[in-house]
Amino acid sequence: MRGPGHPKALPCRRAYSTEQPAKEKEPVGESGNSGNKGGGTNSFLLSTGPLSPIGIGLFVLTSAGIVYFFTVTKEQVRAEREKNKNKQETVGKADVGGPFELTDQDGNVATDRTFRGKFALIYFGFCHCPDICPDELDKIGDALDMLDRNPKTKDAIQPVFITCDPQRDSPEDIKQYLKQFHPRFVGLTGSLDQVAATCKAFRVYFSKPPKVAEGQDYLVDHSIFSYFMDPDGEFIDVYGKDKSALAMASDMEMRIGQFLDAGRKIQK
Amino acid sequence: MSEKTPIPSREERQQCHLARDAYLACLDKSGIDDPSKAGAACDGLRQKVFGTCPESWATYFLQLRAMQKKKERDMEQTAKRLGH
Repeated sequence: MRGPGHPKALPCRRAYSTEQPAKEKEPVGESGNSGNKGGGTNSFLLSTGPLSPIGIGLFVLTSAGIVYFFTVTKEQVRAEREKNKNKQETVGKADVGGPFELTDQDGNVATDRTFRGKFALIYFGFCHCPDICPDELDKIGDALDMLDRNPKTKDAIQPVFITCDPQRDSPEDIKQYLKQFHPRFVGLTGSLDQVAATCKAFRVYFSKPPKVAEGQDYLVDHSIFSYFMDPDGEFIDVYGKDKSALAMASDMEMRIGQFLDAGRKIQK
Repeated sequence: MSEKTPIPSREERQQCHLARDAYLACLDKSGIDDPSKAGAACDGLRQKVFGTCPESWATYFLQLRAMQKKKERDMEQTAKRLGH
């Protein structure tokens, strides 16, 4: 029996304490089960039932267990959310780029490794392009000119032109064509297989008209994008036709800054 | 190699674009959507385009314009239909 001063005494118990027989009104009588009303410590400690020491003990353990469980899972959820929050920044990063092997405008072999150590801005087009390619190449040139004004970003980016029309665009053709644009441009061509593989790696769509007579002029349909790659050859960002030279320069300047701030070096 | 059409230089490209712009402006001013039904209206300028630009380019510019015009007309139709 517990007096009102007992720490675990429940207020309602006082009403029942000595007035009512345990079996009748007390569904949870502490000494009721053991049949020992007002019994000694021994029988009290051994008694079972929700308000016995064992009962209370189990309750406490279960509560502790539940609290522990929720604390742990809450921590896991919080950690997961933290992890995913950081993932948000890179969730748009596509699997773009990769190894390629082509030939440059001087007839030398050029691979993806040729461009390591510097940032690269790669544009896919073709020399017989009526307006879009020249405009995009001019835009790239403008962006590079802007960045060349800042010593930190000067010469940090290698512009690359890759043809989607290898059957016509020879290294010599590309060399002549690129003279119209920024002097740092490097141009790449190759066999149809090599070019197709490179376009596939960069997710570039291109299509030559199916039936073209020998010597007949044609246009190549292709997706219009410039791919910005970091000095490790990893894809950073892609710029479409609507991206202005200034916007491109601004983005690239920020990326270069981040790279340098992380303690990395650019081979100039 | 000698069979393929030459790659226009920057100057040749600019000349071609100027001729194109003049011809398209004429078509717009005359309200002509489809040049094939235009009669002789802007023919002189059309000759100039085909004279200064590679044929594939000239054809492409006209196709591009046809597509743009069609899109404009479709938008107008939609606007009318939706009571805009």
